[in-house]
Amino acid sequence: MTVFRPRAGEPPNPEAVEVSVSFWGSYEEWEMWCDIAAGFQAKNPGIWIKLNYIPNSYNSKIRLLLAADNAPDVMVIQDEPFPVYAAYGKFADLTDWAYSLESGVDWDTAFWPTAVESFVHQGRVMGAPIWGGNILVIYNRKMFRDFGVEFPNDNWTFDDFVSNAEALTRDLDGDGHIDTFGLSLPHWIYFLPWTWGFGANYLDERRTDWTFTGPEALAATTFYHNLRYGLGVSPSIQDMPGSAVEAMFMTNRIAMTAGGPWSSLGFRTAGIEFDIVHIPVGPAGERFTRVTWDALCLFEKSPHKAEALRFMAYCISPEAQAIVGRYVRSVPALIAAKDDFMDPDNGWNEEKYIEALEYARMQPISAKWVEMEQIMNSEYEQLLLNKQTPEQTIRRMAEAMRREGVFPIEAAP
Amino acid sequence: MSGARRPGRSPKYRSRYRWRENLQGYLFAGPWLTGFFLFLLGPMAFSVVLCMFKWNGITAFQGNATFVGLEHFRTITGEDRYFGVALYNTAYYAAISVPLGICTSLFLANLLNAKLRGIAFYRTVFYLPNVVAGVATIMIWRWLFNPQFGGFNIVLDKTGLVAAGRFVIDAVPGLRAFVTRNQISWPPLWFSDEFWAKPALIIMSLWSAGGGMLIYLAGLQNIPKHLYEVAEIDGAGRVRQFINITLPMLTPTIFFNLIMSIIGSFQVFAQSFLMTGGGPNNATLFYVLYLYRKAFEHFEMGYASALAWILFALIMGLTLVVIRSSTLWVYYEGEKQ
Amino acid sequence: MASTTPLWQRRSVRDRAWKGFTVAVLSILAVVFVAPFYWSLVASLSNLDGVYASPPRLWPEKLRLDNYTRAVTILPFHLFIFNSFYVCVLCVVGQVFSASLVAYAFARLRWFGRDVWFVILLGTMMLPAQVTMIPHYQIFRYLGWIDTLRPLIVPSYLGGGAFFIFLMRQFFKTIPVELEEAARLDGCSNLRIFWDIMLPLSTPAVATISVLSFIGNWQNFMGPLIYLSSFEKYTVSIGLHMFQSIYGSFPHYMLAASNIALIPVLVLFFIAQKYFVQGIVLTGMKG
Repeated sequence: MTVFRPRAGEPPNPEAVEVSVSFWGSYEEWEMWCDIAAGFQAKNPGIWIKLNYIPNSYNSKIRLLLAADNAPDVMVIQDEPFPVYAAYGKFADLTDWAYSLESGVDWDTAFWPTAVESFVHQGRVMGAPIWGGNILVIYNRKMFRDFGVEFPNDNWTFDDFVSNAEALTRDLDGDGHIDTFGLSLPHWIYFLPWTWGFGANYLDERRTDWTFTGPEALAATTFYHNLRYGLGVSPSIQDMPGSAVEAMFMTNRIAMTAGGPWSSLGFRTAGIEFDIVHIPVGPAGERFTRVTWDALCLFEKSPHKAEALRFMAYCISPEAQAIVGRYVRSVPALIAAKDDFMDPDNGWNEEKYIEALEYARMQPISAKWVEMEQIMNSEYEQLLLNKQTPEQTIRRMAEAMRREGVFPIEAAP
Repeated sequence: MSGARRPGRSPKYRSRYRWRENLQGYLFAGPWLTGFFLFLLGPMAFSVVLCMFKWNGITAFQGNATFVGLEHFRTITGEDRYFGVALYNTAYYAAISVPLGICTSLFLANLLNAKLRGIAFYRTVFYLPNVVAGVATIMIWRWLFNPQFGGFNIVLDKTGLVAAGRFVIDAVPGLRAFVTRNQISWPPLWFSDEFWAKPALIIMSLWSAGGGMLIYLAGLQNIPKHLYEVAEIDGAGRVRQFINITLPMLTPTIFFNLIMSIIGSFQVFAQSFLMTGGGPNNATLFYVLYLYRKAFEHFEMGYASALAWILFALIMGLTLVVIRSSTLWVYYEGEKQ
Repeated sequence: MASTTPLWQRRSVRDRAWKGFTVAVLSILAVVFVAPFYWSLVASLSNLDGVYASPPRLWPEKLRLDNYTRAVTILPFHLFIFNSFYVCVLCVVGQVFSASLVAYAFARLRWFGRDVWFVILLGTMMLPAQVTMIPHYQIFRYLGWIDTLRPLIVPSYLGGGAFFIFLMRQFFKTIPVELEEAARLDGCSNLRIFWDIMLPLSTPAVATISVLSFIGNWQNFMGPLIYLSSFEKYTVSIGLHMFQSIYGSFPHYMLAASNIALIPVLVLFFIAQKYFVQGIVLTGMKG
């Protein structure tokens, strides 16, 4: 374990222009940003990068800073809250910069497709994507081996997925309590690949109306509910000591879970033998995974826009993206940096995250993300506590969306 | 020149004396008054104004806020279903945790006032919960309230209370129907059960009774010992002494704790924000949590301000009732009327 | 006095019985109160398997002291503790003196509008902070205090908060008026009375405020989160949250870190014990 490295480097030159960048995460993110800042400052001695590490409640603090007009020059923003901030005019319009030579990349082709799309607001580019990740199935190799189940192959279907989970759900000591489970039931956001696999969609194409109704939605929700209550392959609250799913995965009590590249970090620390596999193919005949991206946004009222833009250009350059890739916490947004993400010697197949980008879809993001999320969290919670049936869940969600005025969304503000 | 007021002095002297007294009062209260005018008055006044505007809180006020008059208040009292839920949850929490908390702290403080060797150790133990940091507290309590493996339910099980509860449910007529109809769990599922979520939070709040205990402890020190000695000689027992000496002398402290508990419990927020997210099914949607959501997640600062001032009026009303009643039951030893 | 055993003998038997009862009740309750914390101690010394062992273990199977060394080295907790101490000590001094001064005005002085101001004082605690957060921030920004420790410290000197003012007021009101009147007859100014009579007689209250203030500021998370952005200025409370971002899935490390953050406060509390119970000697005053 490395000791936390306080910001190294020379103290700021008093004439240097200070550009602040805010981010969240763990000490690995901190180290990554230290590296990126060092790389940038080596080439731009007149600019000092102030690292504003916000360890918790990142969104709350950013909201406060934006409201008080005292936000950092550059902010890391996730794709979910992005539409709202953009709609309120808090970010600078980057379109001209993006398509000029100053950004250093060919905007339309340099990034993974969904990355750019996530940060376009009303046709204007408002964020420069830097990294992201998608969801794949992570499985515990040791458990598969111990129970004599074959490792899943990349072309498996939902049926294979379920039978694997069943084979790994065992009551080892015969006391009536199940000791190992096949699958940790993901949060509905992490369960999107399966929902989509049934052909169900939450929102329509333009993401302005709620479409989670009909037989596909019912099939998806029933499947979700069934994993815990019908087939019993996922633990419920009573079965999970401390209700910490990662803890169970890391102590060889859950065989499969859904996660992104960031999940792997904890597992490596715990010394778990794991690997990833592509999302299984759904009954609709296709497979999807959910991708999420984070971008750098420029504060509209920043006093140092020119310098900040130079820093942003560095962050999306191959050099900085290579640093991002090497930390293997997220997939770099720049396509050219994908080789830096892949490390053949680390014992697991992280290149599948890159491959999965081929069939990745954006989440149902809209300006009403927060309201939508709250309603969905509440209804799914009731479903997973077995307090209501899948039909009721779907119906109540649709009703709530309409009643609370969440959907349909009229023309953007 | 003597400072005591004596009748018969000239009115000019008396008014000069009063002027000096007023000045002294304001001087001593000066630090707080300065702070109030500098930091508190502005924001509070602004939020009063906000009650009558529709503003998202994130763009500049000028040009983006629309005047809506008393519409927010009309919506809150008319169509807002979550307002009623939030108010009920908060009132439930306050009505139970305040009296329970005061009794617990009072009881503990009396016990911990004993002149025993090692009492300092006990005091530290009871104050420990207040010292443990928030993140750890949440982790500890989540584990404790785990329905199957958590400490609480294990104790309930081992002490036979679970079986006793089942017996009671079957024995009391109508109780079984009530329990089934409302989907109440036994043994309790705590944070996964609408019925038990609030009691769980109340139990958590009792664990930090140490704060009140400390204050009662300080209050107990001010009671002159000779009062007890006299009572002893008169043959009064411990319980008698408690009721006739300790309690009355503690009323100023009880007054303080009562008001602070009311103010605090009505603004309960952190536990529901960090632990339950307002669930399950809005069982722990407390008033301030709802307010926070309206302000920072739905971007309706004006509406949230209206909610805040309604809460203010409620708390202020209750407090004024307590203050008014205090002339009946609070006894300040220092100021025998 | 119609009984046969002398009073002093009766008393000591009853005293002992009472003491025994007190110890018994306290011990039982102490177990209840300490149990959650004891679990966290055991968990912090275990490995991941042992944390959620069921039923909970009384002592970890494999003692892992390196959880603690890891907690201390992964983040610069010494820096955070220094910052927290700096803020807390300054705040305690400010709150004790400032709150007492203002409380004296509310408790004993008569000035125009006093009772109205008292209600306003209480009222400042009744408005949820969420609605005043943004204007508050703007004020500090206008003063240029963002990313300094000043927003955390200065308000302690300007009244120190309604909570402590109210508390001290209640305590001052229990001090006999005769002492004050006697002093006034002797020609003492209000300041002398405050300094030489009111404060010394309120040692338990002052001790209580000191402890509550220290602990409150030590645990204060929202203030530092909102106003600080430089890593070197972060306090222990932020440090713990940072730790959670790093090790959120590893409760044993998390609990080890929070136990470390506990130690200074516990030590302080233990030391302050003797001041809590310093009674006041009032006999002899009644003449």
